[in-house]
Amino acid sequence: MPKKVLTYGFFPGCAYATAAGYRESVDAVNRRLGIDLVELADWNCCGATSAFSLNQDDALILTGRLFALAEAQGHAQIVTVCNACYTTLRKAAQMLEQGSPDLARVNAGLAREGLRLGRLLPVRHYLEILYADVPAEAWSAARPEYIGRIKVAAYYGCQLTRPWADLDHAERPALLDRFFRRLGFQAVEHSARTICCGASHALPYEKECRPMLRRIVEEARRRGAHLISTLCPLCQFNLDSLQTPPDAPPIPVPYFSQLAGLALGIPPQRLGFGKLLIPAESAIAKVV
Amino acid sequence: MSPASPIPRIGVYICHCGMNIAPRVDVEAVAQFARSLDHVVIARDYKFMCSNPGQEFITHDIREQRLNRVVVASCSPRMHEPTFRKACEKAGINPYYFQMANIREQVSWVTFDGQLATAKARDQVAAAVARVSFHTPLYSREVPVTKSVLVIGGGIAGMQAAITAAEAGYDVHVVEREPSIGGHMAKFDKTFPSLDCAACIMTPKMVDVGQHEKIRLHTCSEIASVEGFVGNFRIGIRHRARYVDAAACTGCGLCAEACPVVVSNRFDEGLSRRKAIYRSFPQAVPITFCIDKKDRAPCVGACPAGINVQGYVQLIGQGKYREALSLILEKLPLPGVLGRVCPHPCETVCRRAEVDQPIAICDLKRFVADQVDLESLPAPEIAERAEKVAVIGSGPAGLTVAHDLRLKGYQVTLFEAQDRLGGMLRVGIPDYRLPQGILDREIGRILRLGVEARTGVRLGPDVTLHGLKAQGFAAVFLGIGAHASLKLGIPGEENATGVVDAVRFLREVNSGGQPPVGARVAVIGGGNVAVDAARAARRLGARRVTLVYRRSAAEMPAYPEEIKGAEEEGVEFVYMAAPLRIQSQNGAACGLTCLRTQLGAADESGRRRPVPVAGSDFTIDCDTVIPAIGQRIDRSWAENEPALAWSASQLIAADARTLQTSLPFVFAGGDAVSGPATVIAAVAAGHRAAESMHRFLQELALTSAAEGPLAARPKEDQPHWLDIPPDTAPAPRQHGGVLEPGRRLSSFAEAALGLAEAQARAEASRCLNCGACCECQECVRACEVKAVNHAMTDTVEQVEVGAVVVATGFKAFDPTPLAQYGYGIFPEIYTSLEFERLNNATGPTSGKILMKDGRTPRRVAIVHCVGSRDARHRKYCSRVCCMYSMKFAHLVREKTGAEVWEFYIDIRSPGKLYEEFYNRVQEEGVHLVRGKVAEVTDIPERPEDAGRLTVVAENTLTRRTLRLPVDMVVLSVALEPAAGAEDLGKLLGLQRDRDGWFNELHVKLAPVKTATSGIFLAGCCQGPKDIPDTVAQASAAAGEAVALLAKGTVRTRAEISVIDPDLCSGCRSCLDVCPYSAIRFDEGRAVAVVNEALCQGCGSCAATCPSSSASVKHFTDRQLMEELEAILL
Repeated sequence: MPKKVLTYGFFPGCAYATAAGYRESVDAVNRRLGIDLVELADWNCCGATSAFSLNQDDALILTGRLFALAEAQGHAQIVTVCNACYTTLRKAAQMLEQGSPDLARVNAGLAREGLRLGRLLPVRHYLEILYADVPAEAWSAARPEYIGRIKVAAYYGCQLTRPWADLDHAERPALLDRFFRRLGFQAVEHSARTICCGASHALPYEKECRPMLRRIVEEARRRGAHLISTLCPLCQFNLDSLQTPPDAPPIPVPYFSQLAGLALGIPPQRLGFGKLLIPAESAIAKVV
Repeated sequence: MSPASPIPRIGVYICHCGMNIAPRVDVEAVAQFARSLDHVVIARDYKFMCSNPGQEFITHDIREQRLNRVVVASCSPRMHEPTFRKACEKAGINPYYFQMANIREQVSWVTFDGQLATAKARDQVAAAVARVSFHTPLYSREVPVTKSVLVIGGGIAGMQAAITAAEAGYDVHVVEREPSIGGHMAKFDKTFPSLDCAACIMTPKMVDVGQHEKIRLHTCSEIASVEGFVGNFRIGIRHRARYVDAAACTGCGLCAEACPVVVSNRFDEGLSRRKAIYRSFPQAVPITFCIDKKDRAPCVGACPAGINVQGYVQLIGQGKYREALSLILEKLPLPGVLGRVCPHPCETVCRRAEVDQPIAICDLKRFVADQVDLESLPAPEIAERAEKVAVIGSGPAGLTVAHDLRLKGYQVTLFEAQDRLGGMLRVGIPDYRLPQGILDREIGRILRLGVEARTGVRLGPDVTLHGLKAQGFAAVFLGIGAHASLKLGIPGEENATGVVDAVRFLREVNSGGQPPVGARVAVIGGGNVAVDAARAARRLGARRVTLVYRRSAAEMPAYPEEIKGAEEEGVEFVYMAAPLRIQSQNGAACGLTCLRTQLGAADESGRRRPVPVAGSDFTIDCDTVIPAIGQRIDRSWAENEPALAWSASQLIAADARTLQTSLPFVFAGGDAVSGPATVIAAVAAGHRAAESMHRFLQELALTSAAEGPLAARPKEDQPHWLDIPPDTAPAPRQHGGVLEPGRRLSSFAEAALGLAEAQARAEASRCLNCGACCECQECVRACEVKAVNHAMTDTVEQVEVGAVVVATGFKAFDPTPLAQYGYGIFPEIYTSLEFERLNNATGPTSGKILMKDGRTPRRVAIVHCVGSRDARHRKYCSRVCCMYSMKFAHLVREKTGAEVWEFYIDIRSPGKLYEEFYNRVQEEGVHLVRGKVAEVTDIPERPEDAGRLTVVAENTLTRRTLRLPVDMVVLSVALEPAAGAEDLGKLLGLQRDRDGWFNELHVKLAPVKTATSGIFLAGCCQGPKDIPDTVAQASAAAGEAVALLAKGTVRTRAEISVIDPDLCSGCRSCLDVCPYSAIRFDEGRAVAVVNEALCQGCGSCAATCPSSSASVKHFTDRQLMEELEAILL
């Protein structure tokens, strides 16, 4: 719809390609809205939480390389679609500011490849692009009428608003809720917005993480939500795969970009809904 | 240049300071070095120079060696300079012949290498020796002191300090900004560790302070200004208006019962409500009530006539309709009229719109005007005056002038050209909007005041301005309105039957006539007059009425209610059409040809100009055309009054403020001056003109009259209104009934039916009381001793005191930023102060621990260290929270038997009987968990816990995470410096530490003194502390103040500034920079002069002076240069 094309440097992260419908929906939404996410060539894993905990020096080289690549490839911003990538890159940016001793060391390492970290580009989550850069009117043009009957519990995960608390309130954020309302959904009030999903501990410590996930799902159910929607592949995977429904039906967990696509009138098949472990289309159909 | 004579004979003493200097600095080598310096007669080193033997060396050597200068190299001069100066003085030399070299704080404590330290010590000594040779003798003076003490703050600290000083025989002023003394302690229930109730132990002190013959209590007061110096302070105390006379008020409380305004009770920490006139708590000292007034509510400010809108809305809400109507009548003699026709600017600014919709103020005014029989209201007493006044024109402006001037006692005669009174109200507004009966009733009341009315009298043919003057009318008001119409200026307008301008048309309708109206009517225009004409035409039987407007619907100036009524009555609206020509056949109108328009650029009214589109003609079939495009003044009489000036827009010229015309005895207002405008604007003009005329007649200056005593409140840039409570539940706006459109057209019966009584009461209860007190004067009426006085203003009193004790206390940390604790999000989360109020017998639950829904909690969690010991908020420990948290635990157990869980980091119980209290609480079965609470959430652990809160914390002793369902959570919040501490600090010149607490002079050795002589600290303002320590410190501060003043004199500083009059050029730069206002300008000699009593020797003037005529004694350029050179060379 918008004539001008919004272009960004894009860091997909490791989970993106295999995530259940994330890539399909992001691509579909971008095509409709004229957004061009230009994938960084030769990108590497950001290291996420694990790398920084185990070996900070190496972790900084991993992340520093991403900034250097983005700069060399002429981008002005780096957009991520994963909370962990988002926070990891921002953490690295803080540590690699001008004058920091780590910066010199990282550049020494990058020099072997002919790369150099000069300017730290701003890092933004894809949600910010859709909320702040796309005009609000764009979302109502082709909205199907059933959207208004669906109640969504927005789940932010813990790393989008913490520790920065500059994008939104740290414990009680509202950005994703406002985005869903702008799409036309009903965003339910609930208290599980930022409580932990277990992240990468969910598989090795499944027994301990299931109750944590159940807390999130039951809170969403208690508030009458039909869907839980999130903006991080790991959060989505944990919630999608580890719901233990003893006596209640599981709640589907589509990505926020899949819901954005629905609001634009794009059919669910083109948004990767088929890949969700807990099927969403039937749940939606029941509501409408 | 050689030093002053006599030749210096210097003694140098190097102190070991025990283990502080000697191990690092080679003191013997330094002494040896000193001996080699010029003029040094003797040099020693000794373990403790400040001790008696040490000082003995000095005095002995001064005598035996005939020393006239002394240097001691030891600690900081802030420690011992006074000590050694005294020693010199005792031995017979001027104390200012002494210099100290700091080789401890500046050398041995900060230099790790011994050789470097010794070298630096040598430099310090050399500098001191070089300097001291150039010292001159200086003398301080004794000045008398005022034997009285100011205590700022009336909490437990302030009260104790005041009592101690008063018992010592000193006059004491206690200044407290709240209406009562007692501070925070008055809010508490039981206090630790002895569990005595705060009120029981404190009220004797409160009474003492209130009744002591030596103590003068200033409540509702603040410090406005501080001048002077130790022993001689001049303090400005601002007494804020209480609006209740303290001498008369008996504290009976009848006023509060009568007050209609309910606001949040700050003393109860917002947990309950109180009236706008109130007393903080039953044992308040003084017992006097006071009124909480914010800035006038926005509705009051928006009303052009200044009606007390909030006031009458509140009275309606109470069912006090007569009082409400009387209040309206003070500013508006035509309530029933305006309640039907006013455009209600008050509703536009009503802050209820921030919750749901504005209050239906206009409908409420109509309701109360209809409820009360005007004749039943008592007639006002009028003190007659002889002067006669003529009012020409009986529209709203004229009626208001007549009413106001009659009440002032003038003999008023109303002249009206029509045969009935009322102006446009009578002949312009149709009956279905404004029934004739309403007008008769309200005009009748004005006439009954004693106003004479002559109808059928025209200005020009029947009376003239000078003619009236000749008849003895000392002043004349012209309120002739705008009763002529603007012409369209299109072909066919003249000479065709069926074309009648709206003003004339409506006049005929309202006079009971039946103006000819065909079957198809076209009305041209978009204002109220056009809509009135259209709706009247429908009632007169026109089958089809079309209203033609040249702009779009959005730009139509007519009231939305009127447009809606017209649409319901079948009037058709044609927008974006401009009249071109009136077609006629056989001399009778048969059609209106129009052009389509487009909206172009904005004109001076801000609306977009309609631009006709050529070739877009179309014709509306009609047999009647009613142009309603605007009104103008009838000027036919003007040429006989050449002295009366007109404005460029053909309106009567009148001064904007006083409404006086070019003829001094003639005043004008309303549509004749402003052009066609609203009724309420005419009323407002009437008030202004009446006031001006009154002043004119009394030969007073005609300046803009003040509105009277109630206007005396200061206006500020940002209006201060009551905050809208976040839990205000939305409630729909009430709408009055309307006659069914079908039934409306058969007559001119009133179309709008107004509010029913239940609706009016409900609507009035939606009012938010933005201005707090609404000035309805119910309290004045209720008070049997006439103690309430709304005209009181703030006053400032100057007092002289010798010493000041600051006891401004603390405030509680607001835990809202710690969102994880849910304060302000979940209802059953309380701060410690709020919980105290729940426990206190005078609080919102009469001392019972109850949840907001009335249930008793079964399990209560108490969270320590909320805001304290927190890197992001307050780093310090607030010292009292562990103890009061345990006190809460005890109270909960005792009153409710509920389970109590306390979550702490450490338990701090250091005082007398505190540890015993901790043991007792443990024995009472309180669960104490060592672990800071991570969050309080409403996500239930198990389904049966839904509705309860869950506290999440780690029990660090068992290393398990605890998720505990509870009913109530108490947050033990940090103590912070009181609000306003920063500003008070600036007034007093007090420094604050990085947490905002006032700085004491020395944390261990001088905790109640400050760096400013004569100003002392008591209580929490210096740092968080409990009640025992506060009382002790307060007595100490009072003791210090008394000690300072007991001798009757204080010594002034000797190291003060001096200005050489021969060098001073009179530029006055120094006056601007002196922080103590110690420099004055001698006009006679054109030089600046230092006041030796005020100067504190800061040096700002010396640094600023461009001609080097200002210098500080004992810190002259010469002395400083010698010191520097000794170090550098």
